Amino acid sequence: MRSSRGRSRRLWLIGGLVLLCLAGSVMLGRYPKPYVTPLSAIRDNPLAVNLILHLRLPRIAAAFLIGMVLSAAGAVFQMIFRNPLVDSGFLGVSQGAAFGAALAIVFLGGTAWAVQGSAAVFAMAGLAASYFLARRIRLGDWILRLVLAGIAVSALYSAATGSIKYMADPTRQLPDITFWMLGGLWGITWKDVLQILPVIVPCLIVLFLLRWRLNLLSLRDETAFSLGVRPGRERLVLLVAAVIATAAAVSKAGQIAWVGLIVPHIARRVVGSDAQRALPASILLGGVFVLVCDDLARIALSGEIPLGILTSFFGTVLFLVLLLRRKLGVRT
Amino acid sequence: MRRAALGSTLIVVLAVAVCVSGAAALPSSPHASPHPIRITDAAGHAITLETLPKRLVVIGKGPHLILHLLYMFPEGRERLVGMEKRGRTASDFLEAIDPAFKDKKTMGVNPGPEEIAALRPDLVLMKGSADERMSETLAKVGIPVAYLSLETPEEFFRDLANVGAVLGNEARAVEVAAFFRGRIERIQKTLAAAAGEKRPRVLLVMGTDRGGKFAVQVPAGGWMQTFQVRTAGAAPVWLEGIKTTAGWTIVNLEQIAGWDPDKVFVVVWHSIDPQSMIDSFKADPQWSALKAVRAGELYAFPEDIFGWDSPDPRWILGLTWLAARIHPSLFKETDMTREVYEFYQKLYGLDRAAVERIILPKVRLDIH
Amino acid sequence: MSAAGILLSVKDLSFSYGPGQPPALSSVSLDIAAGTVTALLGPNGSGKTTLLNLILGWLSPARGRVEVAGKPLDAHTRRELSRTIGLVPQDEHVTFELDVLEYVLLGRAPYLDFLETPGDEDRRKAALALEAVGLSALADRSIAALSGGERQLVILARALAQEPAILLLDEPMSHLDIANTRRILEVLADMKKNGKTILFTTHDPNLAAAADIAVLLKGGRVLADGPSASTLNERNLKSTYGVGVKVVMLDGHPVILTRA
Repeated sequence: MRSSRGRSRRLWLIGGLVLLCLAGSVMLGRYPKPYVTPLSAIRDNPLAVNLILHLRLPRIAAAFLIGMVLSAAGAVFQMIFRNPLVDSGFLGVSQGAAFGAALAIVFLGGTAWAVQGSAAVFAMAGLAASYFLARRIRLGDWILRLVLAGIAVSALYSAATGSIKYMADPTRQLPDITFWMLGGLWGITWKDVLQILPVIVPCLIVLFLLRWRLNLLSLRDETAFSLGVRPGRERLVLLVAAVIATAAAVSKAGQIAWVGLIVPHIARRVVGSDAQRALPASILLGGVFVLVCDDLARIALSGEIPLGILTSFFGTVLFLVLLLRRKLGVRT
Repeated sequence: MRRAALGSTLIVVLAVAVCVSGAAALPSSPHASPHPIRITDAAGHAITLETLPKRLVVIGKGPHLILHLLYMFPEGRERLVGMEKRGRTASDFLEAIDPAFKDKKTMGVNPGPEEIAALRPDLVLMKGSADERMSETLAKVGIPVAYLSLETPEEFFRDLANVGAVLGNEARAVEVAAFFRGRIERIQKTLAAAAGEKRPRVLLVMGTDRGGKFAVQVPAGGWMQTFQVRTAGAAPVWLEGIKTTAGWTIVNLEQIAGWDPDKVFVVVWHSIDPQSMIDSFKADPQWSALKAVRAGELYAFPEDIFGWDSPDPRWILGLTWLAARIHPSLFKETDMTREVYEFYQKLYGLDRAAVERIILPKVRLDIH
Repeated sequence: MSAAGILLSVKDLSFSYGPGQPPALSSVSLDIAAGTVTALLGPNGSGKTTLLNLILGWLSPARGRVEVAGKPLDAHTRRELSRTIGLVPQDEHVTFELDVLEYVLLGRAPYLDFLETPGDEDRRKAALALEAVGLSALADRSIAALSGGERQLVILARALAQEPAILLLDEPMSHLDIANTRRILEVLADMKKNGKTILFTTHDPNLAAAADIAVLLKGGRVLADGPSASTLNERNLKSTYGVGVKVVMLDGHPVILTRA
């Protein structure tokens, strides 16, 4: 159904899916029994109510927020760089944020604002490094060059984070290196959510408001200019918003890979490539994707599965399916 | 000796009585201490418990370390309801000495807060003071978390006292601490008396054998292993020159040859056969060139079901053995078998027959 | 509009791409009257695209200036300029599969505020622009599924949706077959009837012959400029291209033939 109305309807359906997933997630957990929590268990049990209000709900909120951010950022990167194979994990953004956060924890006192600020700074530096490096590489077309440069920058940051971890006092200062590499939300409380909310919400709003401009920015620079756009400036606004929000998400959740890569592709298949619909669809579907993965992470087994493992697993499976069926919706 | 026998009999009787009574329903009125229990845990948190915790859960890395401490107290055995099953959960040992152990609940690695809350604990004990946010997270639902560290002797005694406090049995904690301190002082006195005795240069490493390649690591400067070597009257060579971080650090053979220690002790992971590890070291051309190996001073660190080196309470046995190996002339009367009997009797209430049945078959003392 | 109906004026324009580079344009001056169709003709590297970009304002000249409606470029606001000058580039990036109508809708950007999204009126104008190039039937097709000729027309439609007074086209017909070339020329003729001013670059003299005015460029300089019928003569063309050509007049229009 390619009609405009059909696509708008699908967007509403996605919205419905979001509400369903949110409601369903509240009923899933491991207390008092694994998997589904029956209402009767909650009714007269103050501990259960406590658990849901103070542990389950903030975790659901965090998972959804982080999914929204990573997916929005991925959609923005893909359109601005005209590259269907990038997301924050392939451009040095997530790794830069992890490095910045680790640095702030070990050397800058580890307050919430220091951590997020440092994460944002190094995430932006990672993006800039990937971009300018890609312009100087002389191998292959633009898509390949940006991915190569991004992988190199990401690897550098990962090594640097590993070094900090090695130098820091492991029993006192830094969470396990696996947390940074694989991501996880198991300790999230409302405090954490409130720390990233004032950063993430305005950034998402900015991206949402500029969703039509994103279409313009995927044109040639001269064309965009002729249409009254200032391509450099508008791209910068979008990129800064995307990176800052991503950095906030990474500082709380570690590195969650593949969300920003695969969800925008799926969103585009469902509602078309027009960013007016594709961006909101990416945002909502990203939230759902990470939420579902996190639900699995916390209920599937007795112990917690790192969230990044699940998003990578499902993300790569979906990616391979789309790739093999040549439905990545891309012309070069 | 009589006091020890009397004491251990009393403990056994008490343990039996407690177990019998514990098999029935838990006492309905809280067995409250006169005052609320206040401790400062290994992470520096001040914890206040209004009533005595009756349900204990152990999670985190190396749960066996905390479990072995808990099991020195009858209340610890009774009140433990669940634990995280990570690495060696001490099941080989604790199952043998406590028939009720297999009824305790186990959780998978890295349980989430809901999983832990499902056990309805009054207190969660956890090793490590890393950025494990479990204390914050569980605090939100009113479950206190106490961290234990156990990596250095000071931490061991402090954590031991904390365990005694939360179990409401400080007297027992004092008793256990006295046992450990007594042994340490005994060794120190003997060494002090022989002031002219040379302090040999000793290397202690942990050896791993993965696919035929050795990797050896030295322990951190503040750790129990370093303490053991120093207190046993030797100079730990790995404190010279290289910076040891707060964990195990890999060293290469060049560095070891540079130190050229007089004696080498190798901690072998329990899953590897210590004799074969020692033999491979001796067969290795570079290792066999070391002074210590040529002189036959390459030893596997002793163990029974658990190693005697790690922050497990058995470290006191390791220390006693080490002193005898490093200064054999000074510690001629050391009888490790007797030490083992006393250890398990005093600390875990095992009689001679039980020790012979459970522990002695697993003791490996003189592998070199 | 300034005196004598001159809408677009280029005065003594010079530009080079880098400090060590030879000048891409030297002292180019042109006056383009409203409602005319002008062709910029020259071999590759003669500076045609550069001139177009300077007129657009995308590049800044080293010397000289561009005037639109009598005022220099920087005296206009960006918004004014984007409503006045439209660009049809040689090709367009199309990484993700926008629909044709969605793509044409992008041309309405100059009439929208920064945070505004297109409304019904904009959609109507976009549909009209698509109709003007005769491709209404393709409105819901993905732009990636179009043939080269259709895509060029769609790009033109996007520029028409801008409702500009001046239309700049960069080699609009270089990849097209005869039928599509004809179509574009017809559209351009329509636009001229509607009063638009058209400026296109080409390296094909016969296409230049379809315009009212022909400007011959070589090496960044204007060799000749004037009505196409007279300017496209054998002497000028030989100077421009360095090869001999034969010009034949057909119904008052020059037809240029290359000799074997």
